[in-house]
Amino acid sequence: MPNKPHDIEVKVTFATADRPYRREYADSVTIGTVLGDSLAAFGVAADGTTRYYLKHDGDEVPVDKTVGEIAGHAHVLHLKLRTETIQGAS
Amino acid sequence: MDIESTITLARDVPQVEEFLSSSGGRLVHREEDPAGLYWAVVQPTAPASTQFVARISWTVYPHRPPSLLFAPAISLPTSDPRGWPEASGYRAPNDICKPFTAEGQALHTEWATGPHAWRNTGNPFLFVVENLVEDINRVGGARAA
Repeated sequence: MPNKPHDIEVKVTFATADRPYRREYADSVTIGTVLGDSLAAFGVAADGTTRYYLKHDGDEVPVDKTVGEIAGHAHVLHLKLRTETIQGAS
Repeated sequence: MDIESTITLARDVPQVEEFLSSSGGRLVHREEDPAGLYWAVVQPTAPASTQFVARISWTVYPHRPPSLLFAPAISLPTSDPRGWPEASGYRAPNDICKPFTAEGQALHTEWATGPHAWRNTGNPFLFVVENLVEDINRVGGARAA
């Protein structure tokens, strides 16, 4: 019998944002979706010159992982948005 | 330094101190340092790597990015490439060509708008320090010389 899906409260913090992005996600949702949603919430328009990624417990989280895989048994997941300039830095 | 800068820096510094100390670093502002000048001691995560000292100088906080240079130790000149990380865009010992530095924004005037524009919301001091720590760890704490 498959595990019952459940929602996880996700909080994404970004240093230059006045407040965190918070939303409940099903555990099957990918980190890539959370990343896209949080960028939109923070008013960040990705244009290919900056790489945006999420960190959890000090490690970068692959975008193809799911919220459930990262949260494990936790009901709350705290992710941190980080940036890397990939063009223009010369 | 104006009153707004002083007050806002005082508000944001504790988070920067907490972030640096969580990885074995620290933030230093000495009595003799001018207002707005901080030394961020960064401990890379790579085993056997040694600390970097970033000289961060704010003029108008949070509205302008800081001058960001590296020194071999606190209070030493920034002209020694041995104090600099070998990270992308870090051009030892001259400047850091990144959107979160005054030097980078001065060099790339097109960064004044768009995705590289300086963001003065939230805690910009923490944003700068997070970025330089990530850049240093990305190259395993390697030095420019």
